[in-house]
Amino acid sequence: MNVQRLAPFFRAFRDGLAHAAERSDPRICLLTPGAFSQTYFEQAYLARYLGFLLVEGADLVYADGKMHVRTIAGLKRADVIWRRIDAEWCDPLELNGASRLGVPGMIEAIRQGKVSMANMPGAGLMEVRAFHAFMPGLARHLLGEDVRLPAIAPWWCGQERQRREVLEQLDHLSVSGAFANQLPGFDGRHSALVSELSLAERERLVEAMTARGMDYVGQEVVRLSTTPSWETGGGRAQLVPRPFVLRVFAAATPDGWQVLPGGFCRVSDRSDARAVSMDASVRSADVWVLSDKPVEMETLLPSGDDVRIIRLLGNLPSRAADNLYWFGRYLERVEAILRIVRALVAKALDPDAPTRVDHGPAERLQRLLVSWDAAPRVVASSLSLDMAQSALHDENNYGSALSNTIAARRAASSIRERLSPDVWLLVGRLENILRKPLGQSAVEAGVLEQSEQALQVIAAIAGFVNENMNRVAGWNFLDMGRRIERGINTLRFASQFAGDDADLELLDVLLDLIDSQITYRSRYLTGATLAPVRDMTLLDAFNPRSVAFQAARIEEHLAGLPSLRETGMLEQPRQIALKLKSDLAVEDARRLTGQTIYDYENRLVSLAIAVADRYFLHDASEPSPGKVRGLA
Amino acid sequence: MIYDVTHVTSYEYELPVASADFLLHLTPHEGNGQHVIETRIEIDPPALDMQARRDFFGNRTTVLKITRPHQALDIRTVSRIEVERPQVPAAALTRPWEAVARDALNAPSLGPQSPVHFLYASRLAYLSTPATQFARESFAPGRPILEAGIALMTRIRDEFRYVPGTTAISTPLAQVFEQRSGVCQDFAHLMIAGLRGLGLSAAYVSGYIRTIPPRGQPRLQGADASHAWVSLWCGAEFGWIGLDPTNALLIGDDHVEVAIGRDYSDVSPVKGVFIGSGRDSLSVSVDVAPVAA
Repeated sequence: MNVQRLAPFFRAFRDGLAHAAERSDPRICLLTPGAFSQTYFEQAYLARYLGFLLVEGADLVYADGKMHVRTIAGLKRADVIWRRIDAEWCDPLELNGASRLGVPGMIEAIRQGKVSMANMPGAGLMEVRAFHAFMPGLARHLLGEDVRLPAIAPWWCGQERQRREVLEQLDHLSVSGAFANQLPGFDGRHSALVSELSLAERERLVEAMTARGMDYVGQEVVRLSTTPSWETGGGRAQLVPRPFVLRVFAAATPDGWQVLPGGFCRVSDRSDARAVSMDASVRSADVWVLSDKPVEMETLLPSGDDVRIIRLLGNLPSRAADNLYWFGRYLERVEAILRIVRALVAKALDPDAPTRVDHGPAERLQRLLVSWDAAPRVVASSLSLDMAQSALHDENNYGSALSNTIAARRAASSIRERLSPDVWLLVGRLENILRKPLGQSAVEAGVLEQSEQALQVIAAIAGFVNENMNRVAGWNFLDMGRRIERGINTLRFASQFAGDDADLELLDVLLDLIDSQITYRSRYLTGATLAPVRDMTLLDAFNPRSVAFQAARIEEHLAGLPSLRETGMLEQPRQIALKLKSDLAVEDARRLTGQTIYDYENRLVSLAIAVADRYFLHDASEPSPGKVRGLA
Repeated sequence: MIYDVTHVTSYEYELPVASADFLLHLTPHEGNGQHVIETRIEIDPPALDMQARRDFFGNRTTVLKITRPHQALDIRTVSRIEVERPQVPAAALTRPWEAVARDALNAPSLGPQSPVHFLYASRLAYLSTPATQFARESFAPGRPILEAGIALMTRIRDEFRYVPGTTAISTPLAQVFEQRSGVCQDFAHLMIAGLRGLGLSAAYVSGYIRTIPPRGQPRLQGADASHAWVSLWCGAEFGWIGLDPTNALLIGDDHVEVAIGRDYSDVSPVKGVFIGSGRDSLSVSVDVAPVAA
């Protein structure tokens, strides 16, 4: 069917953007409003197709008169920005201060000529209807020629004579806003066919146009062309004529303007060819342009021998690293809550449980939940089941398993392109499980069953991450988040259940919490005893739940990340991690005290802060709940 | 009259802020009956990068960036200004408002002072039917523009109560109308919206007033604050004339102008973007002290 291919246009478009840059091998960024945007999918697709970096405002920073992308390897110059956010939202400092999509300093960088933006803010003026009135004149004045596409120029009623003319033949015209997309004074309408207005509306319009003619343009009613459209309904299907508008695209390139041989067509579902309001129920269609000759195969997707073999893809933007890391941390926190809940409910189930009330396991487990904001306050142990449910399901507790799952999903949503669909699905499933409270009639077994299900989903996510995710920086951050969170949580467990006053019952709970009951029994014939339990929880490098194991993995991750220091000296996170790992490796469980356990927790927290400072916090990011609470 | 004006904006943050960007409209502009003898801005903690610029309207702006972590920030502006405004023309001598509206629309200049920039709806002074209707009552056909402007300003003073704290920058005009109360910038936006609704050109002026006369008391007493009012374009002959709807005063030697824009968002004294996660609290103090000649 000799359909003209679009690739040459996109190549020219890319060349045009690159040509606008100051440097010869420019970094071109597509600035998106973010994952909540309706067209995020298209933006992500185009960025990948054209080889541009997909960025949000938080990824960019203004410094030294230039724009930069924040990456884990430091600031990297952004030469060209393809803007997919409204101009008004580009720069909260100089334009709309409410914008969280833009970057303070962006306008100044443009002013300095250090970043090229397509389209430049202000280009929207050309879409303004008042301007169309002057287009024929401007073309003659500026270019010395007539406009090539004839158009029905509107009359701008900011001119006395034009306004008079419009008012004289008002009933044959359509009236629109001169500057706004809306018809001023007629909320929610783009334009009006005057002949269809009620008498009162017509009067109001005339009055408004008399007071402020400059806000209106009048235009002859356009009769749109029609296209055959296949419609079903009323029991039969038929071809009917339907009005349509065609949206075309042109790009400024080094060789002048190029027009996309294709376009985007919107077909109205009504037969009234005068109606330009194409917003309601319209269908869209892809437009192909046919050639009378066979079309040469051309694509931007590399094929055959052209393909360069790549294993690593650029520098990870700091925001993506931040989100991956917090995705890992939130999930791990959910796991910790689930384990506590499981232990708490199991305690309530155990008929042989000693009835000690003060500072018993139930109270300690409750205290952990409260310290994570998973539950509001410690309650009588007879109410443990209610508390367990609240820690699982209550979105108002901002550290509940559900709240942390939602936070994990939010972090994941802006890095979806970096996670496999399976992971995304499983996060949804986890949320679904936690969104189903069992209610007042719940029994312990039901809650246990639910926690088990949730733990299995988390294990599945970990499995997908470990088996399917490329071992590049993104994975380092995701796994590092889990390890740091698990290390901190395990130390907290140890402080509660393996403190200097710990007895057999408490140590037993700890072994449950870190899932090491079986290993312990296979190694030691005695019941839970302080030093061996501490060793297994904190120091045992073979136990994937021990703190020492987490420290070793964290250190490996940091060793694999780029350094900003050219001197070969270690960066701060690595220094802390290395020392922590070594100290844990040579520590003797028999010399540990409650205080040293607490000190290790603090060291891990300062490691988390150092990681955030080094890799994320050039400025960056939305406040994550964890950060707000100073949990580092 | 010579004034020493001290304007201090203080932020306190619950958690350390890693970086902050600010755009300031704190340096009074020169001209229009005032002369800036001396002015400076002090930042604590010191800014890494501080640049003086001018915006489109010719206002003096300052852009600064603080990149060290901080938990408190003071922006202090100290200025000495001499004010001696020209006599305001007799209101009856100004031209009928319809003629002025026509001239504003057809003004050929695109310079910063041109009335064409101030004719259209802007972010905070958008067109609003109640505001236009309210204004129209003072604008009988053929009435001299300044006379009508003064009448409108006086009606705003009389029919709206000055009650701080009942509105915010984002409070819609319709609500200000409904509650019939607000503060200086609400009244300024309301009056601007009404004037623009009639096709007139009106600007927003930020600045200071030495004293604000409390309602019902004739005597002026000390009540210094950051203030805002309206500047109305009264035709090529008389140009821009300042009207203060909060106090029903023509702008004279008690007012010090800082910046002019289409509405508050063009000239907000301190506009900042900071990156941090905690809460922040803001306090502002203004002192306008006449200097003995």
